[in-house]
Formats: sequence, structure tokens, C-alpha cells
Amino acid sequence: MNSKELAKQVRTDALLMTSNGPAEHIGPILSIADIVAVLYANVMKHDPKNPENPSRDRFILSKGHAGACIYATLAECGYFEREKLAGYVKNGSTLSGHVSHKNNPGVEFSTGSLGHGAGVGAGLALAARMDKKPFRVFVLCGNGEMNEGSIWETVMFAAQNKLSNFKLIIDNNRLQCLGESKNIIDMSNMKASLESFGFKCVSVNGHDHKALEKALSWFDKTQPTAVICETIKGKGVSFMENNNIWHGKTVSGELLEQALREVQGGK
Amino acid sequence: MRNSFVQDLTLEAEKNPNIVLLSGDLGSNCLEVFWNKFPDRFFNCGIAEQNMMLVAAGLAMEGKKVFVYSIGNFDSLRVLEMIRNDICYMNLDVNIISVGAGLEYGKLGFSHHSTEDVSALRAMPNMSVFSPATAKEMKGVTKKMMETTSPCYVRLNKKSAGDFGSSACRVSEIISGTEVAFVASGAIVTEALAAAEILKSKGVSAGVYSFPVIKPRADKAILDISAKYKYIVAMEEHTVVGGFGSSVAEVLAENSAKCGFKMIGIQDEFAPLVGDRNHLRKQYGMDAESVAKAVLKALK
Repeated sequence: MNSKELAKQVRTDALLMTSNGPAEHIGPILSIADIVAVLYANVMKHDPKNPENPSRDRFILSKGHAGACIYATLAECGYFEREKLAGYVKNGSTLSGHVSHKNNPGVEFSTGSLGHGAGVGAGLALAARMDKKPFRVFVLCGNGEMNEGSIWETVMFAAQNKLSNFKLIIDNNRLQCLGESKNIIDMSNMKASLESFGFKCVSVNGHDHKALEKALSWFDKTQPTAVICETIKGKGVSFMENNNIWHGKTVSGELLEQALREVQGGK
Repeated sequence: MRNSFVQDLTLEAEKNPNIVLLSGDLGSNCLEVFWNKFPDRFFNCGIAEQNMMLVAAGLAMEGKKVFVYSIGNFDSLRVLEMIRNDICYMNLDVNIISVGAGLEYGKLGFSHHSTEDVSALRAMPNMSVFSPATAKEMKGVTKKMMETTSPCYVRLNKKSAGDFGSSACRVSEIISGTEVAFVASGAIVTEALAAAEILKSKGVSAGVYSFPVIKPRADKAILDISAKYKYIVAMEEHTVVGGFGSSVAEVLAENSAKCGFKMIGIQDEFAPLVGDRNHLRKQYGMDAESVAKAVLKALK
């Protein structure tokens, strides 16, 4: 499956999963679907038949509330049966709303509280360098999540220790739970901030697969890198795009049918 | 005791290449022995404890045996959610060393009083909690940490409280008695020993037991003591809310133990005035004389 097909299928799965749950966070999930699809289809070295392969690249979804995107991606890649997705957030299931590794092959690390994934990723990257292992570490954070001070502790640590195998990906949809980020904590200077701490940084259209592939595959020889992905929250569903109500609302009925048609390329 | 631990850790690191030491920019005149010997396995993470805990989790995910060094509440309460989510939920080989147990940094003020950490840490699934009183007990704790791969938390004193205790990481009987048993964890064992002496002079026979391990709970040892004595006094340099004494109370209550019971510790308050460890112990009624008096009153 190429990245575009994967993204389309993941969006479809996620709409069904959150609707069926019912569960929140379809907006943030649709925001990162292209990033995650490009990572799994075109960038990361990974092996669905051997999820523990020591040479695999490591991926951590730090914005764990978009976990359905990862579950769907892993299922589509063959880490586990697609049928399992129907259990998302259901009693007795292993697929919690925020992503968990327990009994879910392919999930590298459990998250849910914001500001944790980057530091863990830095630890993985440091271990790889200590052991002279070739794997790379990708951590995906939300732009709202960048409010967390712990992430900036990690940014300083990763730059200081020249973790060139570490990549921070930011889903920059410019919204967060209660509104526009610029009105809450304005981080529109994020690229300059990251560069000032010693990261090499690029901005990219977070829904352009070719541009994403290039940016996500790029690593510096000495410094950690960051890719700021300019994204649209709710991407792919007209009535969800840039409409923050879909951070927490669940879609159903005719709107669900419309959303499914739209992510499949129809009107 | 702190320095002998770092020496032991350095010796272990010679045998185990996976041992890594992280510091939150603390440990001068102490960590150099490790740092000089293994510069590639020591990382000063700066004054950024949240990241330090996360990096520890990441390193442990890749098979490292990680030791995290800081003082007071900086690698416990400040980073509690990192400990819960990233270390305990993931059940990782991260060993947290918190120097300045209880009131050891008394004069530095309330911010440096490590007096609620046990309650918080023992509530974490997968976590073991240690509170050695002496260098001998710490040797046993170090050995235990080398054998286990799940998270450990150690409240460590700079100075050893004496030469007593077991190096086998278990409860030890320091003095045997017949009427009152002091069960104590950490440096406060010395006050229990002195209180037992005072009681002896008043004609009351008291035993003293040192508990370097708070979690897992030593249920059998506690019940054996409860069967032998009429009265148990739990002592800790920590709040009585949810700490070591509470853990003893849980065992006694769950098993309908027949003995009397009293908890000595900080009674749900912050220190109102400045003081060194001994001064603060008196202020909190945790010194030997206050404890002996309280026990005599309770026995009446």
C-alpha cells in the first residue's frame, strides 16, 4: 500500500473507530494521518512480521490522544488483524483512547499525558548512539503540546548531546483544545525557537506526501532535526477542517457517511 | 553511605556494561568516581529533571540499567507523572536514587524536606521502595537493584546512621524485647534505639527492627513481630499519611492483629521553623525522649 492509499484507509478506519467507540479526537487524528502514513509507507525501516526487530526505526506518538491513527496504521501495515480495530475504546479491549503498547504489537511506547514522548525518544536515540546501532527515532508532537516545558528540556538535551539520529515532528495545525494557539500560547516562532536551541529545522506542508517524505527522511550529520508540518486539523473532511469542535466531538449518522465519502475522494 | 553506594555502583558497572548513571546536575564530591571511570556512561542531564526521567525511560527501553541521581523531591515528587507513566507503566529498569532522605537537609528548608515521597512512590505499581538506615543496609539494597529489572526508588542518606542492619535487604532485629516493638525505616532507627534504652530504664522491654525495604511489604515479618509484642510503634522520618507506618498499619488491620499500634512521624504538617535534623525531630516529636514519653503514656 502506498502512502496515499494508507492515509486514505487510516482516515476511514479512524472515522469508523471514533464513531463506533464513541471516542473523541477525530480532528487531531485526521491532522496527522498523512505524516504517519508517509512515515510507515516510505520513511521508516520497520517490520510488521517482527515488531521487535532491533534494527527497526523507533516511532513514538507523543500526542497520544491521536492513538487511533497509530492503531489503524499498524493494522493496515499488518501488525495485527484489522478486525481488532472494532474494539477501539470498548470494554475489555487493549486499544485505549490514548495509545498504549500493552498487547498491541508495533506500539513502541504508551503515551497520553502530553510532553513525555520527546524525552523518551531522546533516551532511545542516546542508547542507539551508545551501542552504535543504526536506528533512528521519530517523535510526533502536537503544536499545542509544545506548550509543555518538558519538551523544551528535551530540546536542550538533544541539541547538547548532538542526537543526530533524533527527529522531532510537529503537527502544526495551529489549534489546541480551547481554540487558536496564537491566542493561548503563541508559538508562531517555533522554528526560530528550535533553531536557537541547536536543532536543524524545516517547515513543510503536512499533507504533501512528496514534501513530507523528503523532510522526514532528512537527517543532519551532527544535530537533531525537527520537521514542522503545517497541517489542517480535521484534514480530509470539509466540515471538520479547521473546526476545533471536532477535537472532542464524535461524528455519526449522515455526517459520518459524508465524512467517509470525502476521505475516500468523493463529495 | 552515599559515597560508598557510588563506589559500589562503579564496581558493578565494571561487570555490567549496561549500567548508565544520570544526574540532574547534582552529586559533587560523590559521583566523580563513576564519572571519571565511565565518562561514556555518565550523563549530566542539567537542571531538567522531567527530561532526565524520560531519557532514563528511553535508555531502559533499549536494555540499559539506568540509575538516576538527584536530591530531595527533585527526582520523586517533581517528576511523579514521568515515574508513573514512563517508568512504572512500562515497567522499566530505572533505579531512582534520592539523596537527603526525610529531614537530612533540614536546615535548607521545607523545599528540601523529602517527607511525602514514600506515600507517593509506594502507590506506584511495579515500583519497589527502599529506605536503608546504614551503609550495610544500602549494600543489600544495591545488590537487590542489580538483581531486579523493575523500577526501584531509594531514599538515601549521605551518612550512615550506624553499623547495624542486614546486608541481605530484609528486616533485621537490632534489639530483642518483649513488650514494645519499634519498627522503623531509615535513619530514624537510631531514635528508636535510643527510645528503647530509655524505656528499658523505666522497666519496659522494647525491641527494635529496621526495615530497609518498604515495598514490597514485609507482611510476614510484621505479623511475626505483632505476635510477639503487645504494642508496635512504627517510626519514619516522613509524613504518617500513607508512608511506612501506614503500610505496617495495613498489614496489622488486614490480619486483625491484636497488638496496640502507634505511628511516629510527621503529623500532616510542614515545618514552621528552621532546624537541623535533630532539631526538627524534636519539633515533630520524633526524637527518642518524645517517643519514649509517648509510648509510656500509651501503655498506661
